[in-house]
Amino acid sequence: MRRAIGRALLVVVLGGCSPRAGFPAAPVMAAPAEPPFPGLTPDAPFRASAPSPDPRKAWSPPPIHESRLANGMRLLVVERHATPLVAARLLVRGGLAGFPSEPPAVVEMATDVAFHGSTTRSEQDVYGTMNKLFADAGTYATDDDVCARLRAATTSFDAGLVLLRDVIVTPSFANTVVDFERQRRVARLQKDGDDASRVALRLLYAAVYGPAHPYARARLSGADVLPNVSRDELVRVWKRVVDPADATLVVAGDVDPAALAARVESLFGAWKHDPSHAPPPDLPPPTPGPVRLVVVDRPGAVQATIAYGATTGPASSSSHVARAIVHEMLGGMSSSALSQTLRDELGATAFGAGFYAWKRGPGIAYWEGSVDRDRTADVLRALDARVRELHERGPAQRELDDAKERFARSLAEGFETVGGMVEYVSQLPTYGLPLDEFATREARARAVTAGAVRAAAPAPEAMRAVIVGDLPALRAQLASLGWGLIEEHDASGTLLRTVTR
Amino acid sequence: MSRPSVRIASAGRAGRTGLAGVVALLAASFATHARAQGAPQAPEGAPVPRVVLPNGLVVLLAEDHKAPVVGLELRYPVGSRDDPPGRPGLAALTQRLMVRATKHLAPGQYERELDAAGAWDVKSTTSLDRTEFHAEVPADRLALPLWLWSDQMGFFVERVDDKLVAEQLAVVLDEHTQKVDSAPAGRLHDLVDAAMYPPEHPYHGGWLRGSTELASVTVREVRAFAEAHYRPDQATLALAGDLESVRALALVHRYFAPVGTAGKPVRADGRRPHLDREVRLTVAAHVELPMVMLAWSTPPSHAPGDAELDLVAQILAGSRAGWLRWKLVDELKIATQVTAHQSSRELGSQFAVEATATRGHRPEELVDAIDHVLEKLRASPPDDYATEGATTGYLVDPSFGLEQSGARADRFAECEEYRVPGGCVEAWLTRYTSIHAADLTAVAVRELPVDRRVVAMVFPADDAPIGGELRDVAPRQR
Repeated sequence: MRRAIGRALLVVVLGGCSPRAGFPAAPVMAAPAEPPFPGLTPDAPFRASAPSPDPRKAWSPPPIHESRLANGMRLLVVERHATPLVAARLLVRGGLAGFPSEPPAVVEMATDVAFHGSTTRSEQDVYGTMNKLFADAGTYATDDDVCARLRAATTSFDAGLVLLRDVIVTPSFANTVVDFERQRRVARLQKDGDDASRVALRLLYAAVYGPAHPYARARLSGADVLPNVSRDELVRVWKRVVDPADATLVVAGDVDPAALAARVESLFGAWKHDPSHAPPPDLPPPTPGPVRLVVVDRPGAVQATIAYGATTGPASSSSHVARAIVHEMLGGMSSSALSQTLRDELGATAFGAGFYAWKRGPGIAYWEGSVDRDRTADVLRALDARVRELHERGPAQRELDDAKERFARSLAEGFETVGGMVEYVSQLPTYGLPLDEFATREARARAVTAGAVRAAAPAPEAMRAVIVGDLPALRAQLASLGWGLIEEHDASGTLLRTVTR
Repeated sequence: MSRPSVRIASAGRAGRTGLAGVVALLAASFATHARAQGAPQAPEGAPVPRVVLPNGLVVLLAEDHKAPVVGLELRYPVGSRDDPPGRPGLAALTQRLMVRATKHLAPGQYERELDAAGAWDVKSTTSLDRTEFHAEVPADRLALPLWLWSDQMGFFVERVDDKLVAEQLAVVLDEHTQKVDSAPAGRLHDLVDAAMYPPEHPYHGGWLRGSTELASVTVREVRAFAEAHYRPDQATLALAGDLESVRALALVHRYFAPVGTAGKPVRADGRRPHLDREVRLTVAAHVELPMVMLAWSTPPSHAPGDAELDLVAQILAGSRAGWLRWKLVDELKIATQVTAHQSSRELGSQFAVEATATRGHRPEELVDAIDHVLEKLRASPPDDYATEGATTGYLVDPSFGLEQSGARADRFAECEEYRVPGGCVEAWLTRYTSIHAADLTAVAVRELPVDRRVVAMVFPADDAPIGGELRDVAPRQR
């Protein structure tokens, strides 16, 4: 059949349609069986419903090669030679939230500064090397990891890996760089309150985890520590949070796993484990307070920014896949019933969406968006109703099927690029997932039932809402919800009062 | 520290290093061509196999089998610049309506079909110059976007009604409020556009113009606008990834070839404005810190100077060592942040520098410091280190991004739009890697003069709206 189509089209391709002016002559198609109607397109039966899928091509995640260096560092490699590219990520478990005694803002600053020079490379050499290699590299910290990333052409990858090793293992923390970075961060603090979304998320984390929880502290601006942070402090913090025993190097792309393992041993083998280094402890459980509504005043704002969410379990727990599917139904999918209600029926927001932050400890699922100020209570009622419905009655079958399909098939997209492969495989060390995680994920997604979704959906009473908007204009609306205590903060985020409405 | 001597790459990849070598390697890697017997081949000089349907639709097919994924992009040359007088936002509203419902698709079905198929990176956008529909789908669902998009092209006008217009009007107005009225100094860009482009220019008033006039738009107007602009003889459809060209072409033909057109499209036109003086705007906004925006009228997208200005922006503020960042943030400590960008547009681009002051410093100080840095660039070229850094910084992410089929579809559609001859990816990369330091100084002298520009200064004011309001306009002679 396909050959027949091919032959027919070959005839078509050799037919006579004119290319647009200024472009080389192109293979063209002959006129279709019936000429186009001027200004009118004839209907046809095949347009009445969606086309059936073609036979699905067999695809499975590529195998992951695992090895470990003598110093404890783990190596995970995925081989793919479709393009001459390699991506890598060096992850060290812990990150902003892993070491409760270390201020997250200082851990983050140390991670950024580390990239700007090593004991053998000046800052100029680091960037000059990247430019010559045409490589993309950098360092950053997440709640659960300190990371160094690299993307390079195959021919440049080895030199890029040496660069990565230098900045992670022997960063120089040059005084000039520390001074500049400190000054920049302190300056940025002045603008901190302008970002309503950031303010809303910071307070939502505090509301759902409890303000002292490491994940809530990781959202703090660092205004109390950054102005006085010294080079010595950064060196001490780096030594505390970075150790080969907690490190994993993930590599994906055009490499030979055996040769790479030998090369990594030669590059990182001399990185010594510090016997006094303690791995990051388990994250504590959340301790949310009783207040369900938090309002931050933004005088004159015609819109209100809403963050509405609750904590979930860790990414390594057995119900993780069911929770990910719940997330699709709470605004992750743009076709979710919640999204359609908020956007198209209420007309309340163009950009609201659901998010699910996977974490080593308790995760967080939330909806975030800006809404017409006068529709704030309507939106909160719709959010509450949807969570209540999923928790008490479970999802409609069609929406469940759509969410499962979307989640199950997202793996192929994730593995399309070497950068995507590294990002996916990095989930294994970050969240403590098994090597067969991706090989079994699609089947686990398809096995999720409506009952499992019900069980995984957050309880309505666990949800907390933060609203950044014009306080006087919001008071009556929020009181009408009858959600109990309401915290009121001024524009700087300082708690003014807690009231009962 | 010694450089590595052990080769860890797979066989056959060694040899080319350095910027030029790596760029050539990437260009070769992403310049995909169909290899299947009987499949259409790229014509001489064209980037990928290209077919024109009888109704004028241009189809680009870039077949490869790196991953079981196909990226698709459908572009129409219609944007906010084509909004009729008195109807700002009509292009954005029409694009939203086309996604919401068509003759064979119930409200909401478009998104549901794509979600259920496992599609991702699903986007539909309207900019000043164009409207784009974009998706990546599993290879076995290639036909789905073709069905959806051909229904938009051929059967939208029959479906749109008062209820749908009212519903999506609320969404568009909310988008305007969110991006313009509720964002700190969110009206700044529109105010600058209004000062730079004359009232008769299609860009006057910017991308998200005032929206109150749109509230009275009728279904008849929407239909007329759609029939005039969203038509096959103006559109480009690009497909890249795990497809069989012959089969894909058959599907495209099935869904799009019957779509008809009538009349001739008329686009809003205009020329790049040439300012003859500096114009100063005083803007008040309910924000924490003063801000400035300096904007120049610059060459249109893809014209000589456009790419050079991309690299100038990179040198000024594209990295931690950007000249403006170094001067304003690190040395003088008068700014919390600085950005620079060349906003490429078909009827005249705009180069802009924006900065936010630290507490206690005034906008005028920022303007003086920005001028000092620009004068240095006009006086002498950057060194090779800075130029190479700017080139790498600008190209590296989108280059590696081409590994994604959707990004390749987007790139090929752009090459078609701007009639880029030869290898699309190679031409794009060469356009930037052939720029020398002296070119950057030359373009700064020519296109970023100190006496022909718009300077907007934003002052915090508690009695002003968050989005900002214009308090004064003053031509300034030097």
